[in-house]
Amino acid sequence: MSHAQYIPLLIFLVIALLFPLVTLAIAKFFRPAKYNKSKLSPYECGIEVDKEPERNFHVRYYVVAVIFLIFDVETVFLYPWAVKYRALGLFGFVEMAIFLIILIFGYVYAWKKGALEWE
Amino acid sequence: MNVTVNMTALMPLIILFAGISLTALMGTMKDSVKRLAGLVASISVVFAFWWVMERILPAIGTAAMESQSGMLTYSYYSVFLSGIVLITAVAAFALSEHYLLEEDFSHPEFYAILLASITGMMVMLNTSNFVNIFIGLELLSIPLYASVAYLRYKPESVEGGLKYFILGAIASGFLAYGIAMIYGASGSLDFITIVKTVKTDSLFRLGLLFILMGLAFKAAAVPFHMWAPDAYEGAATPVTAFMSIAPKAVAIGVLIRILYSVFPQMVDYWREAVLVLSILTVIVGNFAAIVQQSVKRMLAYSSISHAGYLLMGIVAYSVEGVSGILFYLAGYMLINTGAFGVLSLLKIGDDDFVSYDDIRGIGYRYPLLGIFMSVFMFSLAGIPATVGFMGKFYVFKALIHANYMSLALVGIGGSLVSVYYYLRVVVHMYMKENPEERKFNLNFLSMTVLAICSVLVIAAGLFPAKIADIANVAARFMN
Amino acid sequence: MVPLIDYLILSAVLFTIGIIGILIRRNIITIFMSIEIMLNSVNLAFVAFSRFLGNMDGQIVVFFIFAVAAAEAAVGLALVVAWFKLKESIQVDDMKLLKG
Repeated sequence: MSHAQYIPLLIFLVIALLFPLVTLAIAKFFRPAKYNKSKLSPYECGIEVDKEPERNFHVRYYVVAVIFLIFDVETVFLYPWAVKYRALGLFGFVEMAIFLIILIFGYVYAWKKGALEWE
Repeated sequence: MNVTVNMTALMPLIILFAGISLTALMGTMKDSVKRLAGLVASISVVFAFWWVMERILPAIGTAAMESQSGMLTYSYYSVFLSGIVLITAVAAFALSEHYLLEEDFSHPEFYAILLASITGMMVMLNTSNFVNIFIGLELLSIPLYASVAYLRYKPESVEGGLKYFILGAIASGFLAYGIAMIYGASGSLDFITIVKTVKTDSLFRLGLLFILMGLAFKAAAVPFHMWAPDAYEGAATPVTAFMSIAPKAVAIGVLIRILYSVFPQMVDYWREAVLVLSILTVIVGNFAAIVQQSVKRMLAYSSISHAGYLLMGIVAYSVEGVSGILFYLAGYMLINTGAFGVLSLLKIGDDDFVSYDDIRGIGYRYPLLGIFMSVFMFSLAGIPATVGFMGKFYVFKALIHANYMSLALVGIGGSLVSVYYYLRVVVHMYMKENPEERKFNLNFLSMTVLAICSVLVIAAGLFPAKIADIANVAARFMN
Repeated sequence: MVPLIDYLILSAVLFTIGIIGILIRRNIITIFMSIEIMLNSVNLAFVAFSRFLGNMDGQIVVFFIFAVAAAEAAVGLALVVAWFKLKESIQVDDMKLLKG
C-alpha cells in the first residue's frame, strides 16, 4: 500500500503551521511597542469599562443553544430531499411536509413554554 | 417513484405519536387540562394495543407481516413483546398518577417523554432492519435518560440520569459500530439479506461482538450493569418499574432475534459469550443484592440477576428456551410492576420510605399492602404456585434439555441465594417493630393495579398453560 | 484511491479515543465530546463501507446518526444544566450520592 499520494497533504500541513508563526514573528520584529492606558483597555474603542465580565454564561444561553442544535441538525434531512426532489415527487413532498410539521410542532411547544423569551 | 404505504402497520406508531403530541401540548395549557394528561397517554397506549391485537395480529400468519420492505415487520414474537411493553406502560402510567401528585411535580411532559420511549420500543421490536434497530434504541433511550432525571430538584434523580446517559451513550456507540461492521461485511442492513451472507470471518465476529455488548448494556447484564442500580434508585419509583421491565424485555427480545435469526451460523461463537455473561450476571446480581440497605436498590440488583436468568435461556438455543424466556418476561412484568408499585406508595410528600428500616411493621399497619408485597417477593424468589417459579422452571427445563445441566444448576443456586434477601423484606414487614408511625396514602388506582398484579401472579402460577401456549406460538414464529 | 483499510483504521482509532475519553475524563462536557467522536467514527466507517460497496444505505444511516447525536447532545446538555443548578459543578467525581 502506497502513501505517496498523501505527500501534498503533508506539505499543506507544514505550510499551514508555518504561515501564522512566520507572520507573527515578522509583526513582532517590526511593530513599535508603546503601551498606554486606553490602548490596554478591553475593546480598545473608547467605551468605558464599568464592570468585570461575567464568568458564567446565563443558563438561558443553554436553552437557546439546545433549541438551535435540534433545528440546525434536523434540517440535514432537507438537503438530500431537495437534491432528489423531482425523482421523489409527491411522495417525497408529503413525507417532508410531515417531517417539517413534526419539527414545527416542537418549535411551537418551545415557544409556548417561553423558551424563546429573553427576560 | 412508487412507494406504497401500509397504514395498518404504521398505525400503532402514529397513535403513539399522536399521544406524544397531545400530552406535550397539554403542558402549555391550563391546569384543569393538564390533569388529564395521564388519561390521554393511557388511552393512546391502550388504543395502540388494541390496534396491534385486532388489526395486525390477524394479518400475521406463519410468516411475518412486512411493510415498507421490512422496515416494519410484525411477527407473533414481536407482537408478544410489544404487548408486554404496552401493558407495562399503562401500569406505569397508573402508578405515576399518584406518585407525581404526592410529589407535587406532575407535568404532562412526563407522559410525553415515556410515550416517546414506548414508541422507540415498538420501532425496535417490530423491524427487520438494522437502521430501525439503531433508531429505535435511541428513541427508547434518550427519553428514558430524561425521565430518570425527571425529578430535577433531587440530586439523586439527576445524578442517576447523567450516569445512565453517559453509559447509555457508550452502549449506543457500540451498537452503531457493530452495525457498521455487519454492514461492511454483508453489504446490507436488512436481516434477510444478511442471513444469506453470514460467514464466520473476523468482520462478522467483530460486528456481532459489538452488537452483543451494546444490547447487554441495555439489558443491564454484568459487566455492563454499572448504570442500573444508580439509575433505578434515582428515578421516580413508577419510572423504575417501567424501566426495569420494558427496556429489558426489548433488549433481550431483540438480542434473541438478532442472534437466532440473523446469526444462526455463528451459534458456537456467540453461545460462549452469552454463557459467560449470564453466569456473571446471575452471580453478581444476587450477591450484590444481599448487602443492600434499601429495598429499592435491592430490587435494582435483583432485576440484574433476572436479566441473568433470561440470558441463560438464550444459551439453550431452542424454541423451548425462547418460549421459556417469553413466559418469564410476562410473569416478570406482573411481579416487578407490583413490587415497585408497592414501593411507590410508601411516600409522604417528597420523601420515599423504601429502606429496610422504613418498611418495618408495614405488614401490620397496612395488611393489604403487606399481602401484596409478600406475594411479589415470594414470586421473585421463585416459590412454587407463583408465576416466578413457573418462569424459572420453563427456562431451566429448556437448559437441561439442551444439555446445559451445570448452567441450570448455577441458575438454581442463584435463585436459592435470592430467597434470602427477598424473604428479608417479608421478615422486616411482619416481624419487626417500627418506632415511627407513618401515614401513607393508599391511592385507590395504585392499589387496583397492585391487586390485579398479585391476583394474576397467583393465577398464572397455578394455571400457566394458557400463557405458556401463547409464548410457545410466539417463540416458534419469529420471522 | 485511499484503500478501505485506512478509513477503517482511522475509524477504529477515533472510536478508541472516544471510549478512552469517556472513561478517563472527569469533566462532563469533555465526556460529551468523546461521545460525539465515537459516533462520528461510526459515521466514517459507514461512509467508507458505503463507497467501497457501491451501496447507498450506509450514507443514509449517517444522516440518522447525525440527527440522533444532536438529540443525544440536547438531552445531555439539559441534564448537565440541571446538575449544575443543583451542585454548581460539572465534574463526574462530584456524583457520589448513589453508591453500593
